[in-house]
Amino acid sequence: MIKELIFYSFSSVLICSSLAVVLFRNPVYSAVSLILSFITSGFLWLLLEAEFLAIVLILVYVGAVMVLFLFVIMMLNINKETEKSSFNSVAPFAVFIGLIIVAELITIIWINSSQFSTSSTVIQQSSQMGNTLLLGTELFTNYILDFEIAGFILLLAIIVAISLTLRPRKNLKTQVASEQINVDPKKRMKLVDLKETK
Amino acid sequence: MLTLQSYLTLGAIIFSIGVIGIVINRKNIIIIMMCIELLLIAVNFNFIAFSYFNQDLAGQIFVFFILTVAAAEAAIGLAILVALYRNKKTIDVQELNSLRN
Amino acid sequence: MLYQLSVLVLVVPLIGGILAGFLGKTTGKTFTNTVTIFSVLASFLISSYILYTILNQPDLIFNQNIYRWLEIGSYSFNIGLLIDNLTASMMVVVTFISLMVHIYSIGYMHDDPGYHRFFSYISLFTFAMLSLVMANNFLQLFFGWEAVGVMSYLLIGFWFTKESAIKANFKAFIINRVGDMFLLLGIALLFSLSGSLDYSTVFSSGPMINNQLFFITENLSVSALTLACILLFGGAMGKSAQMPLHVWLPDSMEGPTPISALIHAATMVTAGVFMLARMSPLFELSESALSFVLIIGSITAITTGLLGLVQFDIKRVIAYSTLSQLGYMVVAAGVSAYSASLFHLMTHAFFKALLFLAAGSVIVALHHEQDIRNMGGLRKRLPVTYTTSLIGTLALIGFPGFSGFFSKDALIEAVAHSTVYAHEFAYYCVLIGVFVTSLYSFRLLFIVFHGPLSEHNNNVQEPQLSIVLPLILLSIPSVFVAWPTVGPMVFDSFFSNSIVQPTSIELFGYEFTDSLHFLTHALSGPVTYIAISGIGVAYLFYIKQPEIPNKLALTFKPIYKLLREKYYFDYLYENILAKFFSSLGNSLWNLGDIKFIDNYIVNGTARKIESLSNKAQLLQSGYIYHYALMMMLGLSVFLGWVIINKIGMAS
Repeated sequence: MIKELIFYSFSSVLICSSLAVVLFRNPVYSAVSLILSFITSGFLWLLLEAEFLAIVLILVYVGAVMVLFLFVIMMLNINKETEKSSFNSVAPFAVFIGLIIVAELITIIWINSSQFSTSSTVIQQSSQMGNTLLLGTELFTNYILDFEIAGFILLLAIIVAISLTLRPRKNLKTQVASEQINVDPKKRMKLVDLKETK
Repeated sequence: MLTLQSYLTLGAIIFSIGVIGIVINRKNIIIIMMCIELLLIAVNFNFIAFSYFNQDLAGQIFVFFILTVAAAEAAIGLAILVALYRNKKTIDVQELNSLRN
Repeated sequence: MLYQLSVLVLVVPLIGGILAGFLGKTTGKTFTNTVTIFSVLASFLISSYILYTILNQPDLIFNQNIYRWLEIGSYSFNIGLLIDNLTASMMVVVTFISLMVHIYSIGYMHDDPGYHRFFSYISLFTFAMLSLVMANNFLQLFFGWEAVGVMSYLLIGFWFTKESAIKANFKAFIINRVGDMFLLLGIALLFSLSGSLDYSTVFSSGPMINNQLFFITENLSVSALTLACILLFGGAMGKSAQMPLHVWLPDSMEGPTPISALIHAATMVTAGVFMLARMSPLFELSESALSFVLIIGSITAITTGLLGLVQFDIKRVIAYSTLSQLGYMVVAAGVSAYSASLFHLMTHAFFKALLFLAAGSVIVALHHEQDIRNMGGLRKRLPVTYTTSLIGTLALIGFPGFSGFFSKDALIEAVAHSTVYAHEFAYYCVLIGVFVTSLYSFRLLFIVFHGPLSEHNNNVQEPQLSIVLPLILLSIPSVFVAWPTVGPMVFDSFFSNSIVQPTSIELFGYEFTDSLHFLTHALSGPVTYIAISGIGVAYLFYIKQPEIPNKLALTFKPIYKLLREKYYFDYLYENILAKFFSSLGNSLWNLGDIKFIDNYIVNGTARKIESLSNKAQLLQSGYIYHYALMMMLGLSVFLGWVIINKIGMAS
């Protein structure tokens, strides 16, 4: 009973904050609403006994990614509200189609409900071992290679982000190694025959 | 009674909000990127719900990787955004229509 | 061995022609001469060897497919060679005349800018003619038929800057198309009836075809074989210039004279006669087709001969003579005397080539003067040309002892003994034809070589050796070729492995013992005396009293006008048929091509696509959210489809 209460209250907060992300005119408000969405979904994940992921979501997304978003918004100085409507010409149509999609998705979910193993007696496995330990054991044994690749992707993201935004200074004095190596001594010194002057 | 369907329905609603958000917004690309984060959250919801109700840890592992890749995507996306702003002096979706010609 | 040699005969002139055509300009005249003349010489020598081999091995027929060109269902189309006595002798004649013309052309075409082109063309023509002759199926026959047509077209229009030449080759091409259409229809009919294009298969199913009827309408039907034969003969009428498709041949004289000798006298125009002989197993089965052939041939023989009397262009006179002689050959085929027809073809090839080349020699000597009214008395200045022309003319009119005498006499003998419908008519036609032939031949000879020598022709000289040499070489067979060959070729069984015809007794009513006896036998008939009387009349008209022809022309003005206008055939074709078809073509072009195909189908499609793509372009706004909307739309449709499937599966 307490679980249902938590689920429904947090779900309504999540839906509202998600709508707020879309509807706010000011991007800073949107970003803050998104943070709220992340936090509420973190709580909901706790209900599903995904404690580690819930913590990671809040730490990584709220603590790092959303800060990055806010930082970019500040840096580009676009946090001002626009006078004109924030929706474009196809908005009504898009909302209509969006509603259709929701309806369709829910229909599919409820049509297929017979196929889901809705075992209400979920074995509380993690309560003995702990979700983090289980996830860690899986990650570092069966999924070790995928874990490595994920690490490479992050490294790649770092390099890409830097190289995209890096602006080299034009007046910087640096060594050019290749030119130094390829120096030809003959070009360095020129012997000039000087005629005797009378 | 909390069933799998409740969680999936929640995911579907969040997903649709994200999709609508991508299409209707006319302001700037940052909002679009936030909507993408919403979509990912919705997908992650489904994974975790399935993982819980089927007692299979693979779903959570997948969410872990999605979070990793999404973080990378956000970082690169924002970097592109910065580069774009430098070149065009705008990130307004309505003015970014160079695909047309 | 025979196989390789015959392929070689065919291929060598082709290679020579291609080499001369592509490399001639860069390597010079000597290369062109050498390569083409030696290829044709090689071809001639091998052909002679093949003929020799075949003569020593009677009943040797070489009939082999070289490769399968096309296979459709159970029908296969092959490229193959058929070498029998008929083919072998035709090969020798073709390559010999071609060789003479090649040599002659060195001198005749000496200063022409299209020298290499010319040699390339005549070598390729030799190849085409050989492939026509050596074919063992209708398809290859048709290929050769069209290929010689193309080369003839190119060579008539050789001097393509001359408007009259272009008109002439256009005319020849179009009129040949009419004939070729008949030929193609005939081949198609035979193919549909016998299921094969091979000569041997078609011929062996001839009696079977003969019993079938071809229904033109529901009630009107003809024998399929007769129809096929007449259609085939339609093709021969085009190529061998029979009435009323003869009009292209006189105009084809616009081409260089060696071409007139090679193509329009000796070889290509006789292709029709050759085909008639080749098709003898079919024609023999259809009496009506033979009568048709006979009537057309005799009309051609007499009427075109008469036209030769009023022409003033030296080449045109000979051209009309060619037409008339072709008529004779067709007449012989019409009375089933194919051997006589082919024999006349052979002797005619020699003496007519000789006459043309002699005419060319006169033309060269007079610096391209072709009007005989500006000639006269050239006998003293051009002794070799005069002598050879005289030989050719005597052979042409059938003067006793010359080759033409034997062939023409055997031919007329066959007509006299024929029982085919309309044979009396044909007999009188050919007899009058003999008189006309000697009249126009000697008219030409007397006007050109006798009489007073005009002032500006005073320092005319005999042309160079390469022109004179072929004249001498050709005059030898013109006189002597018939002596040893008339017996075996006409009366004996020389062609028995390739031609079906009645025995010589039935055909000629005469038992052949030797050539001399045949000569004396022929002297008992009227032909020789008619010919000699023709000479006499010509002598009277053009040497003794030259004013008579003019008086006659004035007295019989309508007839003279009719002859001058060539029986108004050109008028009919140009002003009525051509006008009708060109206006028909124009209206079809305007209505069908421009309005329907161009405007509606071709441009209409493009316009429709343009307007559609203009509409589709509106989707390509370049805004990301428009594309995203499309994705949403797609997603919703996809999900809807999934739901419909689910419901369908559940129910």
